[in-house]
Amino acid sequence: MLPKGSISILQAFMLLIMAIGLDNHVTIIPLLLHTANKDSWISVILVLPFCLLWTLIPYWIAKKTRQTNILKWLRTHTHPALALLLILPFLFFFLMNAFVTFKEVILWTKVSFLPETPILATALSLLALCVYSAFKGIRSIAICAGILLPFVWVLGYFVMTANIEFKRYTLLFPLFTNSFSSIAACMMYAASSFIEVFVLVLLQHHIRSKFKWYHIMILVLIISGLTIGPLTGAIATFGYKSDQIRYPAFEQWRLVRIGDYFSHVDFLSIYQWLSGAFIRISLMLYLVADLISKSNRSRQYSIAISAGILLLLAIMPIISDMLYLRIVKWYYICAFAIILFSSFWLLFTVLWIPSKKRAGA
Amino acid sequence: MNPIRVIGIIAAAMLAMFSLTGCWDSYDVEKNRYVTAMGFDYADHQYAVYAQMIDFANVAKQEKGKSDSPAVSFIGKGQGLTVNLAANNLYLTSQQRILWSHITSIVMTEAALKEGVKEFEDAYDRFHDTRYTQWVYGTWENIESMFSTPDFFNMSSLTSILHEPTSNYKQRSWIEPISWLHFLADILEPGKTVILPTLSVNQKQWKKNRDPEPKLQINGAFIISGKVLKGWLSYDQLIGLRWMNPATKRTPLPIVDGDQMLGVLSVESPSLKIAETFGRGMPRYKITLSVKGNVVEMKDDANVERMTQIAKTLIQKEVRETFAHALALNADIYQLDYHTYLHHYGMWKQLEKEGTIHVNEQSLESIDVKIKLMHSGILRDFVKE
Repeated sequence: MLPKGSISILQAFMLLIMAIGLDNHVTIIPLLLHTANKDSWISVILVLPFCLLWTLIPYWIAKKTRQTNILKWLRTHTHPALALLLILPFLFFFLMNAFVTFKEVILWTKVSFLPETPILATALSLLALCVYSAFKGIRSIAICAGILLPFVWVLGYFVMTANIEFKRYTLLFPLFTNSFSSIAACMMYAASSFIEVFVLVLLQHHIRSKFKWYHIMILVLIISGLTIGPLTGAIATFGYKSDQIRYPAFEQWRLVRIGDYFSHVDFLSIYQWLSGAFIRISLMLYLVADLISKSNRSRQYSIAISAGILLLLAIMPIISDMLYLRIVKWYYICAFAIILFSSFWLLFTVLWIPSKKRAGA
Repeated sequence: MNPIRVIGIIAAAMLAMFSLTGCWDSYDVEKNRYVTAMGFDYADHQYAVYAQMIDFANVAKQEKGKSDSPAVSFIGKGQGLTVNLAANNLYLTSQQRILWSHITSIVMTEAALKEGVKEFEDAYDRFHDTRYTQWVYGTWENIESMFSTPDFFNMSSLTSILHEPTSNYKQRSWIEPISWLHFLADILEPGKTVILPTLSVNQKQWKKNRDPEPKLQINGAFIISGKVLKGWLSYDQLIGLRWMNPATKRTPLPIVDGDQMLGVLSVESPSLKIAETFGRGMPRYKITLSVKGNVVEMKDDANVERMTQIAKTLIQKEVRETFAHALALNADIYQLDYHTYLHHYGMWKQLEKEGTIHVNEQSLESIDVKIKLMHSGILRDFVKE
């Protein structure tokens, strides 16, 4: 039986490159720099082989469940309560994920280029767009990602090459000046964003074609490139100063200067950041609905309610900036734990159940 | 179509149109006050921030050609108990909104550097308008007179070395101009010595018709290492620095034999190899320096072999001279310690723990100079019979 989905594997890839790319391009880099400054880039490279090996787990899960809806599969093949063990942590993960992305982009807009525009105006417009596309379903989110991604990509290469004049790659060295524990922490933060590709398992029934074992590996490789690029770029331009910069990737945009008369092109990064945030938040809202609702009606309600929660959390002055930064740190640790734990127990379940059934038959 | 849907779409479009078109953050370009250079000073527990603004009539290209009246710069001084308050103080009289995003130069006085770059940097870079692309200078002189020194031909200071030092450096490489970005990164880099060029106003060299015409000049450099201002070296004291900087594009070397002037070489693109040995715990450095050059001036009784031979010893002498001047300030001008930090981190950490000064008179073990002469200009007599 072939999986019946509405998006192709390529679309799913572009979707995830946009969604995860924003996070490990933007949100996580300051955290990595803060944890292990100059050693952060080597930590990312060190953790990469483990992550590549780990991608076989989601692959096996998808293969054994034949890319059917994983929740349905759990309900029919095991006790229905086991599905809850997947739903609850991922519900928390998706909502937190959407919140962190949303808060980050709104705050960045406020402190960097629209200081006098009320947060409500920017937050409401972005969220309305995300809710709309989440209503429309995974296919339309994926198509949007496919349209937005090529330009994001081209702009990324533009800023990288334009800034070569400022980069001094000796600043990447010496290596291993930090303690082992900070390098390990850095590895964990990096891994937590790479293993986000696990959402493929929750999306698998929407994907038309079958996964091959190397598919997810390639995805992780591309995503790791998205972290290593701006991370080494930030260290090579700012040295230890990069650790004090709140938005190192954006700050690189602000340096761009070609000749005497071409500079101040950081507005282009707004396009990059907003399209990433748009795709990521839409996807998260969609996945929340996918987890908890069966009918179309309840799907719309759950999207609307989660969006309402996001809006309240982001614009009400309940969460201060300092608290937010602490939340981000904990969020990555939680994400790491949730995904790793879920991937292992799911793997053991899928490996164990069919053999038992077959034995019983 | 469902009427509720139509209303929804119209409402969404209205929301986007009216809230996102920049009503809150839009300003008329002609009313903005663009600051082009900033100066930092510190005196009597008060921070001072200077702002230079330029009349764009002398900057933008105009149809009627260049302006026939001298360029006008406006220099404001704000004071306060912190850097931010000092900058804020300028708003008292700025009339319209000040924009800080087009600053291309920062000048710091000795007192400001002594007070600590961190104080100024934090307030400056925390603010969202500012960037990291400016040039940065130190100075001994009055910032107001520096900011009002114009370029030639009624052009504003925007084309002077204060704002655009690179083309000048390419013609006469001595002290490399440094950007704010690299300045800040290098201050935080362990073992690195920051060489911050200092600007001064030269009143003597040029005349405008018969009147003296002031022009900006780099007259030396402040030496900063370990976030501390070590001191100042003059242009002449830094004579050896140009050989040890691979960025050097073109620099003159007069060939003097005893009291006889043989000619002048123009030397370019030095490339450095540093070999490090550790004897008795202290690193010692052997430097191999290869430069290219060409003859720009030659006296009748000179020959090229002799000139190259003398050039080698002269370069060695100049390198050692500047090294000694810097050592007197406890500074390691050639980044030798940074070389150890980069290539022998374990050793460097050991030295750091012992707390000894990493570089001393014995550190510079040898300097081996190689010169390759490329051409002798556009006169024929390269080989004298």
